Amino acid sequence: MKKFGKLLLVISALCFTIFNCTTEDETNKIELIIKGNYNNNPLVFAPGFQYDYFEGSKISFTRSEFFLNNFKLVSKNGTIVDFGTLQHIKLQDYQYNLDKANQGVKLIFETDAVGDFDALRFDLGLTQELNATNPSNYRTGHILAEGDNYWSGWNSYIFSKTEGSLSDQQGKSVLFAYHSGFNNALRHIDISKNIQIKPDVLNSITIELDHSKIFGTKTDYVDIYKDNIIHEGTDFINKFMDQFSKSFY
Amino acid sequence: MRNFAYCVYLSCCLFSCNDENNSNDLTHIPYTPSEAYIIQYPDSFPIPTENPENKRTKAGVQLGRHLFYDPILSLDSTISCASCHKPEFAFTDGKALSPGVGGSLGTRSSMSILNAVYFTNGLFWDGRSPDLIDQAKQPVENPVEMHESWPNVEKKLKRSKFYPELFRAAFGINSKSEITKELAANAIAQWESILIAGGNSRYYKFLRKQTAFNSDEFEGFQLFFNLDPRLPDAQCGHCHTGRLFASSNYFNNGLDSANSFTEFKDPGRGAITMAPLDSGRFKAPTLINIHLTAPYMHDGRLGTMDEVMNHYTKQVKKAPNLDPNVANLRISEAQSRKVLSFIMTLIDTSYLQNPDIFSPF
Repeated sequence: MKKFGKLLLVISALCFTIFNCTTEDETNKIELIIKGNYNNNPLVFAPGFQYDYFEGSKISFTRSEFFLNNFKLVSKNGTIVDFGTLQHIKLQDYQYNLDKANQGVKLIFETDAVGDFDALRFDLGLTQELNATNPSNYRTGHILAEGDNYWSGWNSYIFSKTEGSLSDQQGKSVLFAYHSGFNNALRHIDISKNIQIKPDVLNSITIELDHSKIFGTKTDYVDIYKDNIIHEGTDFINKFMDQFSKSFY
Repeated sequence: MRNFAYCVYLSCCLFSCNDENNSNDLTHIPYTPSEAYIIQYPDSFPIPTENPENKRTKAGVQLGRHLFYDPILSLDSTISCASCHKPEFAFTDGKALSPGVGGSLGTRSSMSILNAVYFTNGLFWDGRSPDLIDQAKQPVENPVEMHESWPNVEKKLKRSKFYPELFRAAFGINSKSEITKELAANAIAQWESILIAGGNSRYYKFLRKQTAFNSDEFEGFQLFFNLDPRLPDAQCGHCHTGRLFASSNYFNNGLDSANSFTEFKDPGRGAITMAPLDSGRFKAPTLINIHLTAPYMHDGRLGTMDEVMNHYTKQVKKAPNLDPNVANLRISEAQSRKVLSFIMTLIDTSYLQNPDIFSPF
């Protein structure tokens, strides 16, 4: 009986150790939800979904894709925790009807972080180091091996593509395409948010991209009829990317 | 006496079964795992990710090569994969629409399978196949292509004088009964993965500083990629991009007018994704060796590259999902010819020097 008692003790200790180790090894999960909207309405990439542009014109979208990178959680006390790396978001592949647009794009990351944070930080575009590479540096299937995301003429990846059409009531219409690239198109974004990361649960963080703000404000907006195709590394794109980066919240 | 007869009958059955097993058995054929089939991928291209479940071997490539060129895959043994994918046409067939069994025509033009190993977002004009293995299975049962069934093909392969041995060499099977469509498709995919071209084109030699462009080619290069602000943008590089001058996306390039998404005669990608915006969209094929792949477009409606350039400069038709980069071409005929001069620098026929790409028969 004594021996049995000892054995039970050893087994219990073993179980405790194993159980304890398992808990220590577990990582927490962050579900990052990215939603495209237009002036706070879900943005749908489908026929019949038009949104109010400036001066009575209607805008619709066929493509909104972009690189996001270097996701971090930031707290006021100076703690910064990395939790995610390069992602190429293609909103049009997800938000193709109203239901899907309400859901957005969901990305799951694992993190060791636990606790309260005050901001989400990430890059829009690629760092200079990554942008110095090209698709031949990667295996097929890697995001950066995709030729569609690389502009050979620039020796740069294409950081963002925003495409669609604009029309007015007088029958004027135009297709538009704004593609950004080059190192100076990279933007660092900080979004103030109260974020609580708890262990053993899926911690959801939602970020929204308001496409109406990408094009400017009532007093200073892109004249799409005039400049409908832009993909050079121009002042236009610099301003566009400034506005793009401020459209996340 | 009755018992004796029963014993004789039983013995015959057993003997018969044994005989059948013996004829299926391949273990008498010596087998050693085949060596990897190594090929040198162009430095300028991404590195293809090898399927760990289907690693390319010398014996696998040889089996795939036989299957690709053998009409045994078709209902009446008249059509092989090579009927629509000929090496001299960059693995297309020079026809607008390819005849299948009985001369039946489909609605799509044969696509080049050169460099297909690099495409990760769907194969075929509509991207309905996720990878080379799946792609290799489809034409067999397509009524306008080989019009056969895979169970029949498997039977024919098992009965063949040489395929069981080739399957054993490639995959180490022990019995003919192990010959399946999956293994056949794996072998074809292994062979297709050696069809690589582009790295020895003048364009890549130009990038490696091994050759120079003439003035027309250089201006065409600038127009193609919009490199000189003094020149108009030929917009080509949006869809024919990256190292392969192709795209994994799908585009409406203005071939047909449409006021709504239901008007497209061929819905293309839309039939696969069921997304209205994809209706009338097709894959942008690689421009490497494009001069060998006439006629052009998903239905082969344009006979020459001149006609293609004429389309993009004068014939683009309106549709609700017309690609914005297609709708705005503003280049002169002289500039159009220069773009074509540049595209000619993408010819690379060095793949024809590999004897393994030709018919073994």
